[in-house]
Amino acid sequence: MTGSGARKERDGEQKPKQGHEQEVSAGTIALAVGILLLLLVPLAGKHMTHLVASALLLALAATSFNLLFGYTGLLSFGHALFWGVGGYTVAVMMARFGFGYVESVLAALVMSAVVGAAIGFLCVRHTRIYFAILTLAFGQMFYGIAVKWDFLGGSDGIYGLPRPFNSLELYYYVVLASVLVSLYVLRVVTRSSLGLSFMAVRDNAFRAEFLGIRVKVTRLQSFVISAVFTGLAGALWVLLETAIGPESMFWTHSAEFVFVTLLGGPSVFLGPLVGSFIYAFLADAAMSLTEYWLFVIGAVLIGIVLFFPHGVLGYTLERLGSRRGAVDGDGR
Amino acid sequence: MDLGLLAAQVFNGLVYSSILFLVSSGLTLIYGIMNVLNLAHGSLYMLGAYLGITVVVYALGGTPLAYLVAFLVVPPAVGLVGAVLERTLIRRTYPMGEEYQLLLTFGLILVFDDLVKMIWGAAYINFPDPNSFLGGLRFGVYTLPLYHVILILLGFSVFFGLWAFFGRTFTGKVMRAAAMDREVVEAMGIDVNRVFVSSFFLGSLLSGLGGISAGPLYTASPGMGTDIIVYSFAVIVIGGMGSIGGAMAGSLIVGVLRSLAISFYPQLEIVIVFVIMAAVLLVKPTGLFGRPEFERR
Amino acid sequence: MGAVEGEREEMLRTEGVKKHFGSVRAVDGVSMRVERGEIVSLVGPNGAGKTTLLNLISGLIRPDSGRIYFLGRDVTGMRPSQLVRMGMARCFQISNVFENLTVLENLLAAVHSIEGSISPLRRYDEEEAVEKAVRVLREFGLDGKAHLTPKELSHGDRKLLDVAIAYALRPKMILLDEPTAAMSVGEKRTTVGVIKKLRDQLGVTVLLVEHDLDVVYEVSDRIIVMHQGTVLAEGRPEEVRENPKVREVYLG
Repeated sequence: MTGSGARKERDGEQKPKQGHEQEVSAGTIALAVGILLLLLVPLAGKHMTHLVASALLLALAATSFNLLFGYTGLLSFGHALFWGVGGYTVAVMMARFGFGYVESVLAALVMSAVVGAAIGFLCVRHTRIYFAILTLAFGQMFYGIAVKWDFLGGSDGIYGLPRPFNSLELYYYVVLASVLVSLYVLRVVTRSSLGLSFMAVRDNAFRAEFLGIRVKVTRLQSFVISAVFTGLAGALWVLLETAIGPESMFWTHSAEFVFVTLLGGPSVFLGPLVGSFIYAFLADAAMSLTEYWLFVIGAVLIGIVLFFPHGVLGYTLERLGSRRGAVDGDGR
Repeated sequence: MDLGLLAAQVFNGLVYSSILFLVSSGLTLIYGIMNVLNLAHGSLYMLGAYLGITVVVYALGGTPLAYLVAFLVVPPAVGLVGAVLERTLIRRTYPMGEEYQLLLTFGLILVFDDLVKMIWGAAYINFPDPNSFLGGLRFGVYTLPLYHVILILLGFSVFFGLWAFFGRTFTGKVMRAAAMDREVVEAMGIDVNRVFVSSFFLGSLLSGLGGISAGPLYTASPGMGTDIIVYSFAVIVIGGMGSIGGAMAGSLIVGVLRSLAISFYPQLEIVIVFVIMAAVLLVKPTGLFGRPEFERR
Repeated sequence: MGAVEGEREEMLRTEGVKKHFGSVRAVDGVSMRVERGEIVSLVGPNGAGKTTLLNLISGLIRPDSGRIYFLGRDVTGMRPSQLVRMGMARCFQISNVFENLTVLENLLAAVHSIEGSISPLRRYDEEEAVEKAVRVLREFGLDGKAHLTPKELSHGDRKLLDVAIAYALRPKMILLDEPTAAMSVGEKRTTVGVIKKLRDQLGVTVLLVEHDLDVVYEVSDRIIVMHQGTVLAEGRPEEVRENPKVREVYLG
């Protein structure tokens, strides 16, 4: 089988400057319009506000997941556990210990980092399918703890939390700001020398070792950063939903991160974000049409794998011819 | 500790082990021969249970004969579904990375779950209790329900059957050879595609057999597939991926331990399986009995 | 230039290094030295243990017994990444680069690693690092191809890139594993030039495993002939060329 990492196309920056000025400014305009639209979302009503906030948080989790997957070449099939760790930390801090949401979210970040470091330490010994299954095992382990531990509310979870400001609209802006800042930070990381080491390890861990890069340490760094931002997404999501249950850590939720990432395209930084929005709106539309909306999602997923394996954004950029270098043929 | 209770839990555990073995032997067989991890394998198990209830209750009115017919008809039907999936969809992911296989088969799970809800509804469906006409086996003061005993025997029979099949028959040997080296098998003039579709048929058949066996014990419900698939993963990882013997060992460990946990440490019911799974992966990634029948170079 | 007599300074030394794989004695008690500023070639028939010895020296595998000294320090059992930071770089028989990064980024990864400038907050294409990377590319004539990916390069250029990556690690010594394998005559000329340049202009000591004896005789200061896991002969090219034992194992 082909290595999961080696095939990843990296994003298209760092190409010859000449002749791409226009495209860069087109991208900037698209980004500005996007952010403007996001700012206006609360005008479109509560349903839309809630939907976009969920999509943003999914996008943050998926982008964090993709730092590990697309950039570092490690497929985690248990990433929802960090979403759950962030979410449960907030829920427990508020419902059990009476802390405010700022302290609770900060605690969630710390918890995600600690759990991420511990689990990452164990998981980065393996790669490829073994890494995927090992992360799956840890995800299910945490799911099992949440289902059975009364302190965490058992299978009902923890609910009835207050929402910040008591206002969906105001909280939406908190989510928007947090997600935009986090995405910016993740962008900085992927463009940094550390990000380049991630990609080097992804492409050829053997040679990376002969560059003096400590491969396992590098993988662990990626794992922890990824865990922290996934945890933040979960923490903010709990305050949006005012509740959390163990199903947020079930393996199918982890699979959702993988799904939206591949839907958008793992080789482009904003691919997971695009995938998350397509997924959220598609699911919302399907849900309003039929109770069998998962059927629709499943069918779309199968279609994506068969016809657009580089993801929607990846495919679009390919079509626009904006990506440098040949797109590797073995993806289709 | 009450010895009677302990014995009863071990017995229940063995029944569950047997179901786990049927499902996970199919999973490990497909992985071993084709290097495909089919997430929708659990959906085929679910399909086995639902087709089972259809034959037993809706078609034949829940008679003892209905059970016999269902056990003969349903597993091959599920095997056929698996073979069709391989032909039409899964085959097209072979040139892609494993993550695309996982995703496509995850998509199949969603489709199957909702298909089952569309056809049979979202509520849990109970089978008529086969022990009501099978009765029990008496051992002194204990009575063992006969259906449960039959399932345990079924699990072991299938184990020996597979062992004989892969060790003794030509077809079995060809399948093992295909796992090792596709090109050599092709050079022998054997159509590898047929080998692949056959292994999918056989693997799916086993999952369907697991499903119809489990239905009368645990009812049929949408979502039963996503549950069993992670336990089956645990089983084959613990035993060693690609190994039938490992699947048996893993099934016994997971089935019995889980059953003991349920009655003695209920909080640990789910966790314990995955703790063992993670520990095995960390210490011996090839599994406890990692000498797969399907050795790969 | 070559090694100047009289001021010999040890770069690398092995003492009775052994590595057996089951019953195969791949490397069976090898003691050898490489002096600073030398080009030393390891030659010998297939299966003589050359690549295994290179793997032992570069830290890819551990010896069963024996010691390895680099720059006077005992480095037996150290990981490749540690040895790289001490100044030992290595290239591979089959060109071994980062396929989805551009040529420039391949170099940048090496530059950041060796400069210790790996950080989540420093842009990988910061000017300082790019300058260093481009300077290396220029040394190897690859500066015009900085924005291609390795799969867009010719076979010869890929090998050059491999060497350039190693050189970007500012090594004191480079281990080259069959740098001219599967090369055209023209590409071999370029490679011979590069190997000489490493020593003469860039001041790097070279340990070379090579099959092409013309290349070996042309570039080497000293040749070590291995046979069945042991050192059969060693000396200057002309000495080795005349050695009857060498002729025997080589020409049969």
